[in-house]
Amino acid sequence: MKLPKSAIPWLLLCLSLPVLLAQGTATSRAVGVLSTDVPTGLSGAQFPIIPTDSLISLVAGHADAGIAGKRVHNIVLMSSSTPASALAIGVSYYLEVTNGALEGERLEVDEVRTAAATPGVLVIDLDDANSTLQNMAAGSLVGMKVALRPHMTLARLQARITPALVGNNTAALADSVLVFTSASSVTYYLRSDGLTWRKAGSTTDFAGMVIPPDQSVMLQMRSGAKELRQEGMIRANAFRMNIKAGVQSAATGFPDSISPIEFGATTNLIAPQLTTWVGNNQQSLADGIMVFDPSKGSFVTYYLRGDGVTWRASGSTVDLSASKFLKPDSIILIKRRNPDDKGLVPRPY
Amino acid sequence: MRRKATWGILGLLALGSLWAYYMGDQTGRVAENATAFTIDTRDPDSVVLAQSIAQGEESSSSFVIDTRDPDSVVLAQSIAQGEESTTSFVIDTRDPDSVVLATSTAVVEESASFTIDTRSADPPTWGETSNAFTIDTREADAVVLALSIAQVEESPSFTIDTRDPLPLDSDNDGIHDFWEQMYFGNIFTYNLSSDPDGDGLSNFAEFAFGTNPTEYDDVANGPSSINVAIRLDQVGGVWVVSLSYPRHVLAANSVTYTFETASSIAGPWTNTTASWVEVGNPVTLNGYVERVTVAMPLPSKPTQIYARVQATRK
Repeated sequence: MKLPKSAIPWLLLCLSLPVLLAQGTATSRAVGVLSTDVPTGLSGAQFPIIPTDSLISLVAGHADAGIAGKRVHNIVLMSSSTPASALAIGVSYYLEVTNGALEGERLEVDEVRTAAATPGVLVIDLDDANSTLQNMAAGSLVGMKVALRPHMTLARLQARITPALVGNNTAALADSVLVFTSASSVTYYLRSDGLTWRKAGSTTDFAGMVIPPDQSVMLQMRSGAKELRQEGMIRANAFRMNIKAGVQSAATGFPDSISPIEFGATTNLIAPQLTTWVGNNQQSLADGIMVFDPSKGSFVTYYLRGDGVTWRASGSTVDLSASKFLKPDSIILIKRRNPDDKGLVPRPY
Repeated sequence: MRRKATWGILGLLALGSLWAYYMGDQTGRVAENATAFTIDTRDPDSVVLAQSIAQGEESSSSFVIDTRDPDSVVLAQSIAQGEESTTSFVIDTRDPDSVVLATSTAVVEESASFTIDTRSADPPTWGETSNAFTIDTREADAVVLALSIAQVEESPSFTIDTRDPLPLDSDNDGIHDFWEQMYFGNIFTYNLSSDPDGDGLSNFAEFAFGTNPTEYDDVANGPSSINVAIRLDQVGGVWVVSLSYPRHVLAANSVTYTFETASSIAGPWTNTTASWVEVGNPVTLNGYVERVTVAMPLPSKPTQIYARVQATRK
């Protein structure tokens, strides 16, 4: 076959492209410090900074572990480091999908099963309430990039607060953390030994209790004002939330303040009607967001209007849909009529 | 006429690119004389010569390198012979695996140049004790000289100038030959924008930040090695943000690192390189990767500050 003469210059150009286009630049992932004042009394906190990625890899294999009655899956990573070797003793981890169709999903790691598994296999537990997916077909993670990340716990939170928290064996006198489950909260308080955490009516130590990334908490400082400092990596993928019907704690996943629109809190006309945000001009019938204001000691309530886009504060006529009132140093509660296990906050930058 | 000119220019461009790609930049020559000569690590031939490096010589403490020896290629494959697991190791020149001699020259970094007399049973500059000596793989320059040692050719002694700041890049693709040899076994298969392990990081990124270009595992070089770390401290009443990042030891001389900061993750990002100072010496993570720490004073305590490291080929 003879090439037409006119094609030769283009062929030569193509041959030279690999050299001409060679890129000699690379940029690291962004890292950051988020320093928030924790006043005496009540205030909110979220944990959008990732201390470190313990392992980043591509999923080469994904199968149901075949444990009767349990939704436990085996993940094979395309990695020279074995997943088990990346796990530190006593630390809880989650596996976050950083690209692909499941980007942002967080899957709880079963550390015990991983340690006992065949080398190279990471075991995830979809039954764990902190997994954003409870059902997943075997093989669906294959080809996706994942990051193994350590969870925030009460002990890790304590380590990031200065001056040090002051414990007391009497709950009402101790520095405490309030975790919201549904419409109620559970108070965990630091004991006098400065190491163990308990809740009322229990002798269990909750120091290792996980605070998942999509949950904000309330801090109750009785020993004076503090600073909460988070240092580490910034999430570079979309953030998932497994939204339940009713009132629940939420977090934005990113360290910048964002608006309700950036949070994805609008009625999605394409999504199934029973999974999206519900707006109504009557506040009591609308989905809402509550953000704690430490200066007032109470929550400010916002609700989605009937047009499915406009957000107003209770008693106000101002549209706040583009207002960045979802701050990383606040506790956020959302009130939803519909559950949505595919809640998604797109990366806001 | 115009069509002909376009054809000609494109042809020259392509041929020039291909020539540069396959032949490398023909700068720097070996200046030989009868018994000694100087090695220029920029010399594109160095790589070829490196193939002949440790030509066996299992039987004595001195050795002769014959670049014509067909077996020399096999030895070259082991040139970087890992040793990642320890910070030091012992080389016995009588050992059949004597290829690790290639990395041994770097222990002599104290002076600007040194001479190796291959006729000597106990070359003093190698810090030997009898036939064995110790190499500290934490030495940052340890690999730079590795590729030049084989420039011995026919002469019994040669001189290496350790001041040469330019790492060897024979095929002029922006990646040091040693690094390409170490991971790919040759210098021609990939260039700096290739991503053979498909992890989204180009060879240049893997080189600049010290990761393994053949494994889809960003933390292959040790815990958190890919992770750029940041922290905020108050030092003597001044708020200081510090940043540490990994890099391949060879990247120190062939990559420019700049630092950008922002008060919002959405930007804008500002080049603040001039405000950062390197803190202490780089800490070696293994034989080839080190972690560099830089710090920048701040006028006041920030509520949030973000940073990233940009690597650019020199």
